[in-house]
Amino acid sequence: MNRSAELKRGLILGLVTLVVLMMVPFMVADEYLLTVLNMIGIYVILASSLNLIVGYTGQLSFAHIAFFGIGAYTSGLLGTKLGISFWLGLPAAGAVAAIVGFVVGLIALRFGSHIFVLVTLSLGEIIRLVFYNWVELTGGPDGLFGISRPENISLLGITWDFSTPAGIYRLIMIFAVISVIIIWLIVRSSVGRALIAIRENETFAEFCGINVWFYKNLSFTIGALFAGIAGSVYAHFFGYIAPSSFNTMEAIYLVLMPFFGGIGTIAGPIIGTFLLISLPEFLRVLADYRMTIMGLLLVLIILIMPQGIVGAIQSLYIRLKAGRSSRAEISAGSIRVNRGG
Amino acid sequence: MLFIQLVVDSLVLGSIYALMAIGFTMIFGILHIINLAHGELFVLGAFTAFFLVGAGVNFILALLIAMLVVAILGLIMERGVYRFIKKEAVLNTMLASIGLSLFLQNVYILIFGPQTQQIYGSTETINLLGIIITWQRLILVIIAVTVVILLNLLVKRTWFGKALRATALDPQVAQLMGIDTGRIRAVTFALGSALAAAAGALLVSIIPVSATSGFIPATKAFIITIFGGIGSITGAIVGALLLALAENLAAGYIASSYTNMIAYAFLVLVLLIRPDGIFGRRSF
Amino acid sequence: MTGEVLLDVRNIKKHFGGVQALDDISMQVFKNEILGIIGPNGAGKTTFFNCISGYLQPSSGEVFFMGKSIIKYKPHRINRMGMARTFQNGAIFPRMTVLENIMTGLHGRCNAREQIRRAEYLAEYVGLAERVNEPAMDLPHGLQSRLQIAIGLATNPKLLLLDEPAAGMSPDETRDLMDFIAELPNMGVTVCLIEHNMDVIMNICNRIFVLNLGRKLAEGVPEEIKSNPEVIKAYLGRGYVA
Repeated sequence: MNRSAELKRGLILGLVTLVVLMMVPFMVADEYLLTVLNMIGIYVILASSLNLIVGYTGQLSFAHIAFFGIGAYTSGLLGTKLGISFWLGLPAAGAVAAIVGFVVGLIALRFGSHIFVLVTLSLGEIIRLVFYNWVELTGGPDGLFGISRPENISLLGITWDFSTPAGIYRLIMIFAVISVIIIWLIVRSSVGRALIAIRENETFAEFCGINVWFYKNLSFTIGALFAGIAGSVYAHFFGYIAPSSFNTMEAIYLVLMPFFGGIGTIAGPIIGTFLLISLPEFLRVLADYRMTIMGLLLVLIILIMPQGIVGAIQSLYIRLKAGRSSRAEISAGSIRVNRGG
Repeated sequence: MLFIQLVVDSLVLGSIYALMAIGFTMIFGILHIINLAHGELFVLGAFTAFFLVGAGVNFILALLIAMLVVAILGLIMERGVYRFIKKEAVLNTMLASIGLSLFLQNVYILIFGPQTQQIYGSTETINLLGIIITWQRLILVIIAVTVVILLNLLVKRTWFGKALRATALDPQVAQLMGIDTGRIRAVTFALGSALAAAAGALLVSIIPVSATSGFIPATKAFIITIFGGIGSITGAIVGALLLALAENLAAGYIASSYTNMIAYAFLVLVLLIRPDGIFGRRSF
Repeated sequence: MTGEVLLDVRNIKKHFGGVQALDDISMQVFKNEILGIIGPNGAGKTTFFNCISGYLQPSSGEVFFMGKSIIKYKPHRINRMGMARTFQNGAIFPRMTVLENIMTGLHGRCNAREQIRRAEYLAEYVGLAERVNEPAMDLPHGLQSRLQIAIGLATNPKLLLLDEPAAGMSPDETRDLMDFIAELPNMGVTVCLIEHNMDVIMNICNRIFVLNLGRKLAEGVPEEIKSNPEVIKAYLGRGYVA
């Protein structure tokens, strides 16, 4: 299928999804359910942007949750301390997170897989410890309270009220869908092709004229930007943020989302996020065993299906249809060791 | 005076860090596995020792039994999970170890509960040249040093030690020479796990330990390993002592809330200056 | 041979820890020639390629490509200047299709539609047209070698470094490869070739450079090298008949 047809198909799919999601509050009034969907929406942004880093350059980053936190605190503090509107706080959050992400990337991306993980974990933890210890600014372990909902806006004569569950839900869904579409467009672009080449064979990609260092930093920074935006949305939805939302356990949980669904695909992070957030909610009765099952599941998936659910299906598909030219996505497979620098 | 006191305290903490780190660096260096569940082995060692001592068992014996129990768990981990993951699929190994860590941690919570435990021994102190140290801590250091010396003898003087080093250098050649590399790997993992258990048993005699206490020691073991050079036992010991010293000095002179940050900042600084670690064997 | 000097290597040395892999190597590659590099295993041939393509930095010495000193340049920059290389172990992008593989070589040089067009052309040129949509890892080693060459050509090189392209090829395939490589200078691509297969070397190379234990052993046209007693002793072995 040629490129412009593919593009049209994807955009239509995105639009349809958006419309369907917008309809949901008309059928579902349960606020709890909407909250779960909101969390899924926010984490889809996180997981998809993390996937840009993990799935397309092959490096496992535990710093992503910290960028989420930076976005949340930036936007939250601008709102509570300076009265700055969400609509300005959001881009600010993205920008600050991107800058921090860029610096972290400069340090961490020099190293190969193992140490990269450790460095991102360390830097992520340092950032969280700053949230925790800088009490005058961030409120310390008690967190930041009273972050207001986004201010109402008027579009085409209709006023959009974000203080209602339906209102904020719709906003989050719009952000989620737009983020996924943007990331999809990036992956389809020349940048995305370079990232895939880097994942497949970093050394050889360099010899094809691809500036590997540049692209790794680029994907890392873009990923951080989206994480920051997700953070801002999160802060203004919840109204309250605390350092504990951004600790290592959360960092690990976040990494699992694209992984369970299938890294290196667009649908993977969405499915993984959906599963990892909704299932625990619906299996409340098993709450005590949740993490135990999660751990066990993770080990089993690595042993049996390292490409995640979507990846396993895709692998099968590619093999069966070897005659068809499919340029959209490449299945993940197990991540290879990358040499640093 | 404060300074000397802090140095001595660092020796105590550092001995425990060293046992953790040596176990980790052995497993990383020889099996090329980053076992993020190392902390859970540590915790099991602590709990086993705690319950045995509570049942009236002599501390040293409890320590040895704890090491044995955890060695068996380590064996199961290696043979049951890690063996089946390709060495090159580095991140898969890491994720699997995360899975094991999550699983074990939560099993511990289910079995032992979330509360902390600690072995309360005598708090008799002795005064050495003006420095106060409890007997317990002194014994702790002696035990740790003994374990390290025994390990050193094992690695340098026995046939097993030679087979170990051969497997680390070139598994294929080692196999050709008749060494059962599968068995060596399993035993090495068990040994590394036993060291983690020893660290746990020793720590629980001075500090409370809970089911979730494993993560931070494991991370520090990882950091020390990178600092000291992967596979280097000397590096692990030096790194452990230095880290303990840095933490104690920071807690003593600045503020204790920043202690945990030290390890991370430590790592980042070291890597920026010497990417191969201080005793760098090439990290891959 | 006279003509424009494309690659000028001066006195490069490379040591790893205690091992001196390259010891004072100097050579020049002229435009539109096919230069062969031979030598026993461990002679330093691949290390040499690594040092001139930016993968490794020489411990000392200089490398000039088209007049510019490239010693401090990263591989991607050297590639953009016009040097491409292949690797001994058939390095390609395993899960991408053949077409996508070649398109990677065209990255950043033209738009996507043009990339597809050129990649299809190159795939046909190297004889992989029927397999363009297969994952590259499914190709047998000989075809992977051709794929590497196609990817290298996609980067529009003035100098193409080939590291044992004939390895694992049948005699028929080797002959096709030889004809193929011999044509390249006519298209404006200079070739520098590491090979163990003497047929290939003797038949298509304009000049040959012999390495042994990191040092230059001999340099000259095939006839000279064939009859050079030092070379015969160290490498070809007595009894080699042209």
